[in-house]
Amino acid sequence: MSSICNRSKTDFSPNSPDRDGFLLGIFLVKAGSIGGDSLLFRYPYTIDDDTVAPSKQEKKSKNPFALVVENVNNGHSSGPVEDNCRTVFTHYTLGPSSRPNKPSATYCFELDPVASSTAAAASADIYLETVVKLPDRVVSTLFAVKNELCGAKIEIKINDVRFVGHPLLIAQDQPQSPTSQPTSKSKDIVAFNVVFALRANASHEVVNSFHKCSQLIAAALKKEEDDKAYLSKEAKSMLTVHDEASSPSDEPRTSPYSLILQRSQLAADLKKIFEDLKFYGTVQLKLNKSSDLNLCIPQTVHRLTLKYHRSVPLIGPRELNNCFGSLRAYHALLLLRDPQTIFDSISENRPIFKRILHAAAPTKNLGQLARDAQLSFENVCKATCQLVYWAKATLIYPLTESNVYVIHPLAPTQVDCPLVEKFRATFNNSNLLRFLSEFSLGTSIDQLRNPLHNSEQQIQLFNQIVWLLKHRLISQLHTYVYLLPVNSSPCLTKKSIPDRTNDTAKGDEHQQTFNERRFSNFNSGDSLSILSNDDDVDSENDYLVNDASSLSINYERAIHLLRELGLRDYECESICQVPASKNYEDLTLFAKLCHYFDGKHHLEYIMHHENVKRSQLLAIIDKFRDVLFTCQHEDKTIFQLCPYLYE
Amino acid sequence: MPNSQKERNESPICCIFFCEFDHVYGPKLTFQVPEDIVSEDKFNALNVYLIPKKELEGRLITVNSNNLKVIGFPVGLDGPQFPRNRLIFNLCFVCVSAMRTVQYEPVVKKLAHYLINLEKECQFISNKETKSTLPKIMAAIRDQLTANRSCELTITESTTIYLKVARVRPKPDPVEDHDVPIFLTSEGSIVPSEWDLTTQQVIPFIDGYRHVAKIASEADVEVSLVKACIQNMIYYEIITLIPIFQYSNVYVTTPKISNLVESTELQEECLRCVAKAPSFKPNFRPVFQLYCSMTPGVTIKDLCVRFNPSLNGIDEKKLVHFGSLKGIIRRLNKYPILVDAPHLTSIAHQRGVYRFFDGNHSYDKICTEMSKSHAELEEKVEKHPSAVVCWK
Repeated sequence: MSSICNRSKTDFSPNSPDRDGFLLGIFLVKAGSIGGDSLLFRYPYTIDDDTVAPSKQEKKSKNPFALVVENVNNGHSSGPVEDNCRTVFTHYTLGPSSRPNKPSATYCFELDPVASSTAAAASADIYLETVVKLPDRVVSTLFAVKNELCGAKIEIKINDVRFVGHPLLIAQDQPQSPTSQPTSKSKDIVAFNVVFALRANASHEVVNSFHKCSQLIAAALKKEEDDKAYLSKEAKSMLTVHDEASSPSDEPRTSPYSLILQRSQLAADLKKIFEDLKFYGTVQLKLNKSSDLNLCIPQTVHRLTLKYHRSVPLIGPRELNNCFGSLRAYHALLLLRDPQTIFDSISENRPIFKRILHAAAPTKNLGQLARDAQLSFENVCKATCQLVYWAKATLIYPLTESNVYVIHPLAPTQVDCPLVEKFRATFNNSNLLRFLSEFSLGTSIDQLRNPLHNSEQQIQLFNQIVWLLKHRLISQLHTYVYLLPVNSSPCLTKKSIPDRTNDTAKGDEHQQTFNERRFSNFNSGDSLSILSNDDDVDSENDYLVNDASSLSINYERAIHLLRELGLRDYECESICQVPASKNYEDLTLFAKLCHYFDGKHHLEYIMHHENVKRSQLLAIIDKFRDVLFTCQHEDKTIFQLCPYLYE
Repeated sequence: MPNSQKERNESPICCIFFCEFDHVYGPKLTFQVPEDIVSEDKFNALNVYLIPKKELEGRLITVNSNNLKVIGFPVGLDGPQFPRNRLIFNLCFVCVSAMRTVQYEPVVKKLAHYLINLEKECQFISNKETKSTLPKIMAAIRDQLTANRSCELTITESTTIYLKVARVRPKPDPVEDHDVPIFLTSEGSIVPSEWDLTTQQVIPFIDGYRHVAKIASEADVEVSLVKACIQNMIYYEIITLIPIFQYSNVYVTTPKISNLVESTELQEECLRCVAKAPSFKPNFRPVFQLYCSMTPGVTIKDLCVRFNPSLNGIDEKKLVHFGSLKGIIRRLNKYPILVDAPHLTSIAHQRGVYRFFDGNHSYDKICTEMSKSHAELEEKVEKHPSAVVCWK
């Protein structure tokens, strides 16, 4: 079933604020031969005072997942598990008082982003508590996995928390003689595992993204261990702290983990990984000052760039790959931050990125960008994909006068949205919502431009539109063209009410031809060129009637020309009914462009690929309007980066 | 329906096994049906998750590794009658690693509780003789659940196991006064007696045109109850919500419109759905033309005037329904906003309808809230000098 997100506020799912905080914790566990399995480090190790909700008691009573509570009832959980059919049923029919999310609660989320973030933090606590309260020895037995499970993903779900990791074995120095010198030289670590704790309602794709991170961290750690015994060294210092903490002392007990954080660089790095992934969705650091670690949770980074929008469907690797697969030279790169900031965050291929960031502009398509940056198109594409993947940039169609924009269906329009203030500060007191309302009916830049304005105001208008695009408050509508000839088989038109079976058959036939045609047209690049080749002057003269005003073409020739495109007879006839088909120039242009009229190519695509002017194209569409339908919607590639439809 | 994008398929139950902590051997895989799905090695690799530490008993644990997805609910019972004073066991379902298994979690948990009760009542598990009937029971459970997603099995005179695998779906969004429920399945397939009394009372009024507030008043049921039972029916995917149909509505096409041209099935379905009379199926061309003409600023009224859909046997209301349901068109909602108000609170203190002009309330919402007509509201908006309208 598909659902469309054009409804009012109700589509703001109660779960959505939570979606930004999938990550609940990070653990580092080692499996050892001598010292046994132990939990080396965990973060967070306490529930931070800042995040604790005002009333602790109240929270406790609400917490169905805490370890002390047995046999929880799912009736009030927001998790995906429901007890059974009957519980679910009563759950929704008990009336308003028992409903887990009253509309008014959702309403609060939306009205006040600050309130929403605290509400999210409070609800995150329920899960967080479960993770934080998990005893160390339980964690170590759970994640210090048996050797045969190493080298592959491991996923463990306990009630409503999911743990994902990628355990790795560490090569022993002398595997053939394990008993030779067990104490001095051989490593105590047999295997290790970096585990992320996530909310169980995180989707499969999100879990995979975190698994990939765990895998990358593990690979980097293993490399450092193999080269410099880094992990062994760090583990040793962590274990020392653990030993100190467990020895009896009179001092008030502080968590050993806070001490570890001070002493161990690896622990500090893991903390950074946790925090950056949770709050920014990306992390960049050098493990042991040598191994580069670049991690990214696409779902989080992309959601953060759209944080004021209503529940935008998650943008994950699948959506991004769809987007990159259909990247074209006419798309443009729109940087979401200033070039220097982006450049500073890049560690690889810096010269290429430097040139691209320097040359990028909202008016330049990727082709022009490649020329200006003096790079190959492939390199520009690759860099573009990287920038978009990391949500440092997005894709747009380059700004031109004729671009038509509408307000994005999920764009925030509430008067107290922080963007309103930001816009006011950026563009000397302009009102965002007033400006946004100009796009209500689909407006082109041309229409917005006031001829009386001076160049400064024009530049401001341009900058304002770029600003809206950066914040994805507007999206561009492209015009797509469909060829749909009149199916006027005489036998059918004569019948006033065609019988049902006949009609069905006709529909099938139509569809078949349409598919056939499209199929043939995809391979018809050469047939088109043949067509233009054999249109040499001699043969042309046979068919052309030299009219007083312009060259015209006779019916048979026109049919012949269209048939060569793979069109069905009735389609050719229908097209030839159009007055413009009598004109040779019009018909040849129509024939040339015909295979773009399948609803998959927008006008800009056709202009780019066939090098025709917009006015020419619009004129030909208008002349053949009897057989052509146009409709407007977003470019499918760009749409992937700011979707509003759920599958 | 967030998070539900491309839901993975539900996994079958590959195997059910029973494992326990043997006071001599330690964790032990006692029975499994069918045999030889979980090898001894695989069990040993995973046994820390199946017979876990005491802290994790009484918790649903799913472990997914080594191409095996095992759902279990480890149980630990204390008592002097048991060796080492403890009985630890776990009845687990084995599923396909890459498929969805949440639907089995409540079943596994419930089953564990049946076993706990059986043990407490008649030493079902500690008694070797009764324990040996477990494989038969497990096989029956697996067969019945696979065949009809539910299971009814008499174990003793006082205990009968009832299990049902419910489909787990995302929680439906809250329902608003101005939402219009519409059936996704044919109305005939709904047996009123299967539903509660309120729902039975509400069902006859669901026609795809009446909005929630209207249904409530006509069915003489409290609005919040109507909302609750509509939400319940949405959960079971029997109905969905669409915007109120009005001739002043504006719709635009979405990128999904191309599906309509590419898929013959969708086309056929569309023509069947939008026909004014069931005996006459309209041509695709005028239908598609209507959809294509849905652009910003063009109301349904404009379309009717321009194309006269009924002449072609098309019902414009059904056309809009079908388009909305399939996601090939989307409604542009109007949001009136007071732009020059210094602060949000000053809008909340406005008089009359103006207090809703904060960019959060659509025309539909304000109209149902204030019982005003669309035209009346429009007039109010035009009268106010600093009111703008965002369509989105």
